[in-house]
Parts: sequence; structure tokens; C-alpha cells
Amino acid sequence: MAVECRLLSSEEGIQANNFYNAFYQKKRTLEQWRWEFISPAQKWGGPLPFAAAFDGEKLVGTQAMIPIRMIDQNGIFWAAKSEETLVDPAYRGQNLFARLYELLFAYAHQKELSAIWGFTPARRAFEKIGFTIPLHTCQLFLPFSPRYIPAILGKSWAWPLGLLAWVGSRVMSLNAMFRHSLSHNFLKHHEVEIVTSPTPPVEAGAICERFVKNWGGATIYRDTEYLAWRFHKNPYLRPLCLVAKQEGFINGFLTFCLTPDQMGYIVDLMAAPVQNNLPLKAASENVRPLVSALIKESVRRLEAMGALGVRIWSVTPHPFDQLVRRELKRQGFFFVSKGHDMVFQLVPGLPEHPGLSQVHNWYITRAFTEGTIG
Amino acid sequence: MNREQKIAFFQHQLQIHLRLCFKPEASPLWKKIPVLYLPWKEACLTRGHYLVIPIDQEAPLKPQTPWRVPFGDTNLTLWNPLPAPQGAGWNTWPSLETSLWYCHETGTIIPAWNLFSNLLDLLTLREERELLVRDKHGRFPSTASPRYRAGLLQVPAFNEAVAALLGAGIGMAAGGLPQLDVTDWLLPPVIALSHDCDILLGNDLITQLIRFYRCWSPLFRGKLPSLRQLAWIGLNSLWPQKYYFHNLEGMVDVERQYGFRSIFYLLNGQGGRFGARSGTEIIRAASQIIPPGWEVGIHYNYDTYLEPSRFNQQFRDLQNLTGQEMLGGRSHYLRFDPERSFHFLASQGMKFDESVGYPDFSGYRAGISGIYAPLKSIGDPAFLELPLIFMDSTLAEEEMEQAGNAFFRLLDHLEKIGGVMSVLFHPGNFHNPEFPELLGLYIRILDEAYRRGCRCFTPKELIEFNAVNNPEK
Repeated sequence: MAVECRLLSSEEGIQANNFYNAFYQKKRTLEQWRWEFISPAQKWGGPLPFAAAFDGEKLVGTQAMIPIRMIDQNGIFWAAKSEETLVDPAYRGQNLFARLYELLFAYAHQKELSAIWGFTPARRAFEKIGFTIPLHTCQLFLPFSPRYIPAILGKSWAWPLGLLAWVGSRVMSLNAMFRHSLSHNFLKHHEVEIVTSPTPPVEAGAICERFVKNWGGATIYRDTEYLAWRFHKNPYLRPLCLVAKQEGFINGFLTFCLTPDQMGYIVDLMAAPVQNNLPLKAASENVRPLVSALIKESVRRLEAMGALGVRIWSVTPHPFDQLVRRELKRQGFFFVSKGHDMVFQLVPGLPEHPGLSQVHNWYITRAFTEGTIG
Repeated sequence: MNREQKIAFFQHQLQIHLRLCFKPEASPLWKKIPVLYLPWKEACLTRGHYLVIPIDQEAPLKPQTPWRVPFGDTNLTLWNPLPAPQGAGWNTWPSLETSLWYCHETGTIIPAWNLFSNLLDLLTLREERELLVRDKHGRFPSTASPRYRAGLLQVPAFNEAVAALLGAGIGMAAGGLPQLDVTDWLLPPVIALSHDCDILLGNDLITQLIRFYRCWSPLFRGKLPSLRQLAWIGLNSLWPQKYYFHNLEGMVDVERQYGFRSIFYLLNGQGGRFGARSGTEIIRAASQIIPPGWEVGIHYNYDTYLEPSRFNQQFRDLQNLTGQEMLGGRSHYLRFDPERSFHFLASQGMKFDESVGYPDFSGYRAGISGIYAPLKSIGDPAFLELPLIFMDSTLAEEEMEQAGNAFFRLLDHLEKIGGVMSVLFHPGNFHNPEFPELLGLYIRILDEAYRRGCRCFTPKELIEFNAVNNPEK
């Protein structure tokens, strides 16, 4: 029997979710599936951007995307994140992946989703259907405890290697503690107030707009609606939101979380003081106290929550990303190049956004992930 | 309690539980079910569409012939069977081997176990009223319970009975046999999180001496000393708040990221080995960092046990220190007298208590996983008890390899019958490398509860819930 590919409706989530859970031996709930795949596409109604391949009644492959608004210096536009790439091993080599993506490209074209991007270990499959690999994700890490080793690398380490890693990490932890404490002096001179925000800050959209004006490039448009969906209603866990205030104005925010394996994550960080159109150097000096204070407070809070260490993405040479990276290093984080490939493709036939095709100039944080760990 | 009081007491608890753990339509449905509370002989002679609960059969203290009945995706565990009614027309449902109900062909339904006496005995703590075994703190140990020996301490008998009764009611309303599944009528389980703030500074003399003893005591058993203890002595000498007071904020943040909240029971008053070791100033500081939405309550000091003047002193001092009203509390060391404590606490102005739990076992001391009004029979339906089910150190001791498994197992069961889980985590056990077996346990528990869609209530919310949903209204 020929394998049929089509877009799923909201009601077919159970089947898709069961397929995923069976393959990965996970326990994703239907609520989590709905949050990820129904909520972002709800405004369009109709079939979801969730393509599935059926052999008769049997689901044998899935490929989905999550529509997300992005912003560059010309304004806000739609793009989408590639997600749920999975083909039953018995059906591989039958071009199903390409057929599934044909449906998604048609959907993207119809809804004017300008580009599709994602993070995947399946680099070759994506390259075969025209995606490029512009980037590789990297991260910075701040260890609190040598127990992070099994949390990051698994428990199967031979003990001599484990001992070596333990000693190394101990030295790094002490270094991190020392450097982190030094940043305190810098912050004493800048009056930045950090507050926990129980709801998404209403200023988020404006901060995002100022951000791209100041720093250029493109990034996810984080307005209240987006933050509410992505963080505050996240059914995996709800990252905590810190806001940075200067003279009563909210000029930046950071979200962070602790996962059940006790790893701390700075998921997202964005800051843009009210002054616009500053030269890059002045803008950097202007924003550094905000970034520094937000990082410092999140690190302190994560340590109190019992984190073994803190991880944060640093992916592109975007000037704000570089500024954050420098600040993280000042506070004791060290760079780790371990990560995934980023895949990217413009959707043909749609107007091009200037900030979009320059992927190396995107500002990418963990907010670009699917949100299962905050 | 006379017979009428017993029936009223039972009905009251059942209504509270139905309203808290089941969808709103469950309570009205139950009210429409013709339920009769009758002596056994009359129950057996009843005919027609009635659910009859025999009320005169005394239950033995030691559970008799426990058996299990499939119910939805779980099993109910029953004990103290009632004999099958004599006469024609009676059938056992769902089967002779797994009897839950005796059903007469005219529509009468009688429970196959001594539901009424079993539950009344559990809610009124009969085991510990009649058995006088106590440990050095005057507590009834879990091992002295006849249910412990029968392996029944982790059976939420009240919750199971209510689920079975509602199932019977649903079946009757549909004109059929009792249903053996109520999942469509259930709300997600509730978790009630609390923290006994016994120690907020790790440098008090007694704590340090205990570490010193732990360091060298292995020598008495021919083992090497535990030199790690010296590290904790040094660490908390330099940073007394580390892993204790500092953990308060961390606990709040971990709860916040799952949308949960909790209560902190603060311990003040007399110091000493079993008293408040951290002084009073830290209590003031603690109450200041606990954010709005989270609550503070009183951790009744060891020496206030059934001592009105000392209790009152601690109560007033704590209210002055925190500037907050104390509605709920839990006894330090879980000291609790089954005859006197409820009355004592209510007379001291408490509205909510969480002391009815075992210090050495995760289980259902009162046979219920939820709130109930223990003083209903003397006209005080407002005072609530939420028996403690899980305590951090007990969880870790029970299953060293996979601490928390008991929690997940019992939560699994409550998802199918409804209930409220009371969970206690001490700040010093939340994130403290001195107790490595507990590291990460709290977040794993919260993560699982969140994934399963659990609701979270604080004591104040439960008091308000009870006031709004008072069955006597």
C-alpha cells in the first residue's frame, strides 16, 4: 500500500503523540503536545503545520513546524521552527521526509512564514531537501558542583576519567566563584533593580523593538503574548522571569529555570535601554550593567534552587550575543562548543526580509528551542 | 459519638472530599442518591433502589482478610468483609473473588466490606486510642499500627471508599450496576506543600555536636571516621545560612516554576535538643523573604505539646515576629495525642493542622489522603486536619536507591480515585550536600506532579474552600 502524507488536524494529536512517545520512550502528555503544536497555529484554524505519513492506518512518519513571529529592523514577520522530525526506521529511504516537507513548504507559503529553521542532528536529511547549515550551537557553562559531570555526560564514565573530571571541575568551580564575586564591584556603581516578574512584562514587545533598532539582525519577537505562551503557560516547566529596572523603567528581562536533573538554564536574555540609536560602543556600555545584573541575579537564584551548574546558549557573532558572552566569561562561565547544527531555509516565493537571510546576525537564545527544558 | 453523630460526621467528611476531589457535578449527583444508614439486619431486608450502608457492625482492630478489587486502572484494597446477605436475589459485584458490593435484584446495594466502621475508626484514630505503644517522644509509631503489619498503611481507605460509593451512585443514577471506574468524574490530585523550618542556621551548638558525633561514631563500629562531617562543621561555622536559610528562596523559586505554592511552618520559642535551635531573629528574616502567595504557619514547639500557656506564648510571639496571622500549623517531631490534640489545637485558635503523619513511614495514618473536619461531631466543622503523607527524610530512608518512588506510586493511585497529597520538605533537606540522598528529590517530585496536572492548595486556600463549600450550608 502506498504511503499517504497529509497535514494533521488538532484531533489527531493522540496518534502523533503516541508515535513520538513510543519511538523515544518518553512520556510527553497530550497537553504538552497541544501546547507545542496547536497553540502557535491556532489563529489560522484548519489543519495544523504538522505533516504525517500513513501506511494505511499506521502512522509511520512526522514532520512539524511551529510558527513563530520574528523581528528585524524592518518590522515583524512570521517564520517557523522545524520540529518533530521522525520517520519509522522501516520506512526510511522512501523519500518520506521530503514529501512531508513539501506539505509544510506549501503551508508556509500560504501563511507567509518566511523561513524555516531548526536544530537537529539529522544534518544530511535536511541538506538533501535544500536546507543550509549556517550555524552550530555553542554554550557557556558555570559549574557549581562536580556532580554536574554525570548530569551532562551520563553515568557510564570510567572512574579514572571521572576523578580527573572531578578535580578539573573543582578548580573551575572555584575560579567561577571567584570571578562571579568580582562582578559585584562593577554593579555597585550602576543602579539596576532586579525584580521577579510573576507575569510577562508588558514592556517586552517594546524592548524587542528597541533591541533590533539598536543591535540590528533578527530575532524572535518576544511580546507579552509570546512570553505568556512560551514561558508562563509552558506545560513542561515555567521559567522564572527577572526584569531589570532603571529609574523605574523596565529595560531588560531574563528567563531562567532549573530542570529535574538539577541543571540550571538561562533560557532567554534581552536588554535595550530607552535611549535609541546610540553608537555600538555607547550602546554596549549602556546595556552592560543590565546584562550583568540580570545574569548575576539568575545565577544566585539558580544556585539557591540547587543547580549543579548553569548553561546558556551563545550561538552567533551578533553584537549583543558577543556582549553577553563577554559578560558571562567575566562572571566565571566557560565556553563549550558542544551543540547541534542549525538548519535553515527561506521559503521560496515570499518577500525577503533583510535581517532574515543573514543568520549569522540573528540573536539566538534557548528561546529558539522547543521549550521542553524551559 | 452516638449513632446520629457518627452518620453526620461521616456524611460531612464525604461531602468535603467529593467537592474537593471530584468535578462539580459529583456532589449534586451524590445528593440525589437514596442512601440509607441502617443496622445490618435492616440493611439486608431493604428492597428497592437504595444504597444501604450498615452502621452497627464493629470492626476488629486488626484488619481481617484484606482483598483487592479492580477499579478503573487501579485496585481498591478492602478489609473486614461483611457476610453476604441471606435470602434470594442477592449477587456479589463484580465477582465473588473480588467482591465490592452486594446487589439485590430489586436494586439495593450494600458494601461488601465494613465501610462505615472501618472509615470511622480510621478518621478517629482508633488504633492509637486503643493501643498505648509510644516512642520516646510520646508518638504512636507506624510499626505499632495493625495496618502496618498487614501492609495496609499505604491504602487511602477513605478515598477508595468514596470513589467506590460515587461509582455505585453513578451506576444507580443510570439505572444499572455500580460503576467500577470514576476517572471521568475526577479532578486532578491536589498537592499541599509545606516546610517545617526546624533549623534555619546550620551553626548552632547542638547541630555541630551531632555532626561531631557522626564524624567519630563509626569508630565504635570498627569503621573509618566520617571526616565529611568536619567539612559541614567548618562550612556552617563560616556561613551559617548556607544550605538552610538560603534554601528558603530556592524552594520558593522551584515551586514558582511549576506554578505551585507552599506554607512555611516557623519554629520559635524554647531552644535545646528538641526545641528551636536557630533563635528568633532568623524567623523575622525568613518571614520577610517569603513572598506574597506563600504562607507562614506555626511549627508547635516540642515543649508546647498540650501545654496551653506555652503554646499561647509561642503563638503570640510568632505572630508578633512575623506580623502575620497564624491559621495553620504542625507539631515539631509530629507529637500528637489522638484523644486531646484536635481539641487542644482548636481551643488555641488554630484552624488547620498537618500533624497526623508518621515520622517513620510514608502512609495514611488516618486512612485518608485529604482534608477532614475531626471536630465536626462537637460542632466545630471549621477546624481541618490534613494528615501528613510524605516527609523528605522518610522518603529517602524507605527507598535509598530511588527516593521518591513511593510518592510516584501513591500519586499514580490517587489519580484514579482522587485525593490530596501532603508533602513536607525541610529547608535543610531541600538542597544540602550533607544529605546527598535527598539532592534533587524535591524538584523531581514537583516536576512529576506538574506533568500530571496536579492542583496545588495552601492551607489558607483549603480553609477558604471548606468555608465556601461547607456541606452544612
